[in-house]
Amino acid sequence: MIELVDPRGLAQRPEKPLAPRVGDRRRLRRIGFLSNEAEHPTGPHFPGYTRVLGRLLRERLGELELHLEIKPVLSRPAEADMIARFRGYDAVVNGLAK
Amino acid sequence: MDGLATSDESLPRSIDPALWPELSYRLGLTDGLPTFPPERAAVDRLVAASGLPADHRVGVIPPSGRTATVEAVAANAVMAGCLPEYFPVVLTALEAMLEPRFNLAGIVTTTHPCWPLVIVSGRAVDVLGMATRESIFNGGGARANLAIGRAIRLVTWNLGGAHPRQPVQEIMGHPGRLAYCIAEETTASPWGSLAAARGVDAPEGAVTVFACEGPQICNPWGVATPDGARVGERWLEMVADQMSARGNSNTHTMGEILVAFNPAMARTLAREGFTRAAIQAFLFERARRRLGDIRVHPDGRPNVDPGAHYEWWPETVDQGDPDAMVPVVWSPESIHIVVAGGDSIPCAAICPSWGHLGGFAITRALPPLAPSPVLRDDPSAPFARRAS
Repeated sequence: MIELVDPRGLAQRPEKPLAPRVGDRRRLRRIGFLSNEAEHPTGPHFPGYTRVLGRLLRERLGELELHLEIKPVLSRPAEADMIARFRGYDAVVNGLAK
Repeated sequence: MDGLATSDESLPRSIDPALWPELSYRLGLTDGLPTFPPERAAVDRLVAASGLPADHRVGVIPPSGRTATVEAVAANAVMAGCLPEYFPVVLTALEAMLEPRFNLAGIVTTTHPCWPLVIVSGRAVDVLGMATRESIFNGGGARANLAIGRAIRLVTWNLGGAHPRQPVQEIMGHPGRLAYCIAEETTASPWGSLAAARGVDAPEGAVTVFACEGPQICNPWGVATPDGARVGERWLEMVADQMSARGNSNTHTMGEILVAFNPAMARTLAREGFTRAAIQAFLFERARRRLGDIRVHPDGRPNVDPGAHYEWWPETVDQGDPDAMVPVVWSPESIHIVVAGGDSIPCAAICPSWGHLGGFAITRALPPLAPSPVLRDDPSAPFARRAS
């Protein structure tokens, strides 16, 4: 018999847990969109998708405050000041269109 | 198929070692290749070799966000086959990869097939018995090369949770993900080491991490070599041509690139007066593409429309000029040159990168290393260089 060490580390909670999930969607009033890319003419892009998504959300949930921010570099985490501008929003959708 | 299963099943505290292979597959603790069991005694030996406490926090491994302690990294290094003396190299490489500038979270999850190449330079190459010659990009037959590269892979797998499809979106994959580690020539390089050129000239040597694609080979076909003729510029033109392939990310996003010269090519270039800086300057000027040839409309016309401009290109590129010659890297110093590979016919290898998006070269000095017992105990060990 041999004693083992778990290569996944000790059972631990990730230091960066997922954001809390949205509960009752009817209570959503302020929704942010964090796009990993700017609009561009050479294919689908996430800002365009957020316009469609925003329209659908308003159809289903009524009046909403929508806010879009675009990251300067798609592969890097958003800077702290950009994240700060989403404080107080009920949900933030982050993405990239491929 | 969803690939290998992963499991939250607890690892038994102890097992019959014969059961390890199947248990490791069932728990998703390997990417498909078999591993050694992370046996407590072996893990403790690696931790001791690090000179750090077992619970010392190395960093948070993306994308899962789990904390890597020295002990957890050692467990993966044991699974990879690392000897204790390799472990400081693994830790140093991992620390470099965790610098924010490297953007490890992006590297491990991107659709692009790039992976951190660990480049070992200086005295460590000899002390650890690393291979520098034939088959260099697949280990060269040396345990240290592959075990160090494999340890990095398993850390990202088991602590980072970097599993294909979810969350790794890499479209085509990269054989180097299994193990990607090379060692630089210590004596056959006419230009010193990459690490020294980057300002890290440490007594034990150094580690450079650079996220890049697999090597694309450049053989100097078609260049006549009559006695006494200078051929260096013709060879470098071919290297520049390979660096600037239209589909390379670098060609559109710049960033950094790696060029490996084998000793034979390096020797000839040096004899013709090419220094490291001269090669970098030459390649920076020649590895360019005409804007109108790389950014086009569907009918082939140059696309210089303002909406098509790449916002990541520097202002020195006139994006309204279809005849602008666009460099494929940011600067001459963004071309990382190493000397490695078999000392045979002249040959170079080009490793494109993720462009401006991350994985930039980071170099760290190594701490003192103990000589490999493989060399200490068996001076006739095959493939390995001798410890000095």
